[in-house]
Amino acid sequence: MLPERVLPAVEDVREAALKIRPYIRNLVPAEIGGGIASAWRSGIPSRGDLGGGGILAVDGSSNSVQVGLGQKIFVLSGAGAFSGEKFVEHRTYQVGVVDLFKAEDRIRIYRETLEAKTTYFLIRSLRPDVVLLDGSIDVLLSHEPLFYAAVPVRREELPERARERIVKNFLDLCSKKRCLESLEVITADPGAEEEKLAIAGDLIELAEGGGLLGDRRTSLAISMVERLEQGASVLKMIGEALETGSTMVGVSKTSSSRILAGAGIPDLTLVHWLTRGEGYTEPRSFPLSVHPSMEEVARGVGLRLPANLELTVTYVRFSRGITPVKLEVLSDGGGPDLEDVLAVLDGVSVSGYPYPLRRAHELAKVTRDHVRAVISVLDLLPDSTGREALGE
Amino acid sequence: MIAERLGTVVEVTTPYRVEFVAAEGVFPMIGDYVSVALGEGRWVLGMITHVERGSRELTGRDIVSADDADKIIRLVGEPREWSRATVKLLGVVEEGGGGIRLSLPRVPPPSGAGVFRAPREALRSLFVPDHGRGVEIGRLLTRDDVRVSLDPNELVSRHLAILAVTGAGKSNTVAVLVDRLLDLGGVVAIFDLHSEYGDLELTGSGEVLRVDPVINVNLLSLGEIAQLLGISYDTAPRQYIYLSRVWKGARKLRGEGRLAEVVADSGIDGANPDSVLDGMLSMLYGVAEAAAEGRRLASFPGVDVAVDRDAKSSVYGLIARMERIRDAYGRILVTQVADLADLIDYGRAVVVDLGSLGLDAADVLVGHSMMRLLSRARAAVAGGRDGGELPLPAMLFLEEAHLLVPRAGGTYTGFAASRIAREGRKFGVGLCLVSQRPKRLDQDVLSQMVNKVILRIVEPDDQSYVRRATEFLSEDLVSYLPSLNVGEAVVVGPMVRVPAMVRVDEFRGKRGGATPRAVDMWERGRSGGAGEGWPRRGYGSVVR
Repeated sequence: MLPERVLPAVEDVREAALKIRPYIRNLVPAEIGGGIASAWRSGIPSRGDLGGGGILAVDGSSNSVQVGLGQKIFVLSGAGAFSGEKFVEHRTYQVGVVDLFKAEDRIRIYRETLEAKTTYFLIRSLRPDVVLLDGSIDVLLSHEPLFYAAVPVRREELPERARERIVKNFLDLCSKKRCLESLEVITADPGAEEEKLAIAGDLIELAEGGGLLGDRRTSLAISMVERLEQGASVLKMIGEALETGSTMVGVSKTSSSRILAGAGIPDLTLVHWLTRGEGYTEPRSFPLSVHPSMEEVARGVGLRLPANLELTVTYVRFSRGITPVKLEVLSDGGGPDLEDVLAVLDGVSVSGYPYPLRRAHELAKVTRDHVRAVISVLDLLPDSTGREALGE
Repeated sequence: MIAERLGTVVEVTTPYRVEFVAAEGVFPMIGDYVSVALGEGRWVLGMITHVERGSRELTGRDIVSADDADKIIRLVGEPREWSRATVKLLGVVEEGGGGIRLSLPRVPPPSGAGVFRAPREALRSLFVPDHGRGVEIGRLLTRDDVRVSLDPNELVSRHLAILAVTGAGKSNTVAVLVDRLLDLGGVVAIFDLHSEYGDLELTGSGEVLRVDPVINVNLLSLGEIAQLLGISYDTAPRQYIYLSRVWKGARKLRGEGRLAEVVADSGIDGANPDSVLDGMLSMLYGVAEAAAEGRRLASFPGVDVAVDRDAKSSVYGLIARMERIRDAYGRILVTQVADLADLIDYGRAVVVDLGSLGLDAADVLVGHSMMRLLSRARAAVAGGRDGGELPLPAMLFLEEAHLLVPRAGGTYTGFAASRIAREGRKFGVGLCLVSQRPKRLDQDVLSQMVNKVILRIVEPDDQSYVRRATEFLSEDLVSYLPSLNVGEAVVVGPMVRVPAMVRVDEFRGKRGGATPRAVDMWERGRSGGAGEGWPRRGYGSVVR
């Protein structure tokens, strides 16, 4: 006879929610609330001058659809909006195919690469005072675990010679394809598949015993090569901004960063809850760390990044009643005052958000209609997804 | 001449509908006609039924203040506008054979096809009937240089409804149509419930004959008299039975020349010895007397009327109703008057002024006139003895139709309108219902008014009611009805080859019915010049 209950279980979702409610409510201790309040400066500086070069904002987007039972067609876009003497808009698309395994991660990496390349070329041609990026610069560079996708958990065990070899192989590919001079994501191009496979084969061979995962290893190794192009493109973009004197600012509408309060709840949420009106938090700076492999790639492509790169972070609300945003201002120690940046951004903000960035976001949007158009041009038929068995 | 390109077809197309995006700087107009290229020199005509316009920069629900929008404009300069339109396809255009023919496209136009402004000459040909003799109603709303003519054959045979809110131009439209129908030798009668056409002076060759609202009581049917009295077999069966008995008796007596004798015997004050109605009343008094005396028969010269045991109250009730009608409408119930059918003529509009009548009497008069005309027309077409030389076809205009042809039914005019709507085509009697409250009209009758001139309609219920009753009216056009200006109309039905948005001509003659200008009238009144507008009567003469 079967027991009435196999395991003690929470059988009602409300009960599960009630279990954590006390913790959720107690996540903001009073002293943290006070800390946020003391770091808050009311009002936005009204005057700021960064030159007469204008403001460039860049964003990217992607969308994808499954074709067949093991692949996805994806569409990437990178778009920029420049507010200067004239308002200039730019957009570029790229289409490719990836395996389903870790597809979303890989497509995101492609998108970031295209976004960085778009930014690089627009900085070169427009020479803006300020470059706005949608999202965190910190996350783009230092927080992305470079080899994590390739060697989950065991990346420390990847032999140094393997890492060096992969970087070298990538630099060879990059040189052959002129990847940093192209607005195209080379590693997302189905035409570069053979070279990517060769590099991946090398990695697999070198890392035997290092823990590459079974039959997924080729995919993981390929994704590592793609990550290198992303990093190289981001560094190239940063290098160009520093060289032309453009102030690069990352604007995040959402963030899990806890640099300000170090509390159980992200800073941005706390600022939203605990402050009112226009204003910003006292800026905090920290050095921007770049992974050694990236530094190697940078050197390989002829980039010399300053050693003292730092990000200055503030949370700002440009308009009363609007949610705050997180700003990261990149500098090499000699950048403009944060107040100047805030004043300039306030001047182009509509409903509390910089309009050029909003416009770039609108331009970059990749909808289901775009994907359908791609499927139609490629003569692909809507395919089964394998989920029909689940009644979907 | 190179046609103006408006844009390019996008999205999925159907044989009935396409969407196009406008070329830069082009803003398509709702109601305008376009030609969509089909290739090999063929094109399909369409009408723009929906237009959207926006700017790339000022789109988004999060722009919540003018300051936001102004700031964006300062940043981007001139916003880049776009426009997109929906086109209802009307037919593939085939020229030759003395005119333009439209046939339903069997294959949708290709996506990417060019959309052009329809050529003026083609539209001019399109809006003139093949036979070349149309009723000019106005100009296309979007093309001032294209006149629109209605096909009078279709107008009369498929009937017409003119619908709009008050003040949108219904009466003006009626006047224009009447004027131009008469120019063609048309035969018209107007049932003028609010005395709007009493002073009608036409600009064309037609003549106007105003007639008082009188009924030849001797021609009224039993049903018409019952309607006039406000009873029916269903609501008052005993009264109806006595009414029937005395009606038959009075007609028999009149036929035998003995009605005057009975009327004289009754001693009714002011009775007309030749009136069947007065004869009926005289006989009812005789029946009441018999009932009071317990007799089972009321005897008149040559006619006996059976009297039931408990007849008294029913008969007195009936007498009361007849007395009321005599008092209220005595002056319109006559025995010597020409039938409407005898007054109508080619190039003439007979205006029956009903302004002085209550609704019940107007109902009987209009219903009776319509039924008589239909009956005479039927006989004329069949060559019967009652037909004679009737000028046909005739067009009857019924103002304030929602009062006399109501959705709830129960009116004699509604019954007559329904008959004409069904049978008028065969016998040359056309009907035009004019109403400001379409949703209160009998839907069955309204839907048989296949042609429609729809001016401004604001009420959503009215709009959907009209939509349901109109074959040619698309949802898009309905949604445009509230924004029509005075005198602008959607014209649909077989009287035009394709639906049209028209600016109706302004009637240059004289007519009443215009909304009184209060301040002007006060000023005239104060300076002693009152004489136009509302007449000064009743309280007006004693308050001062």
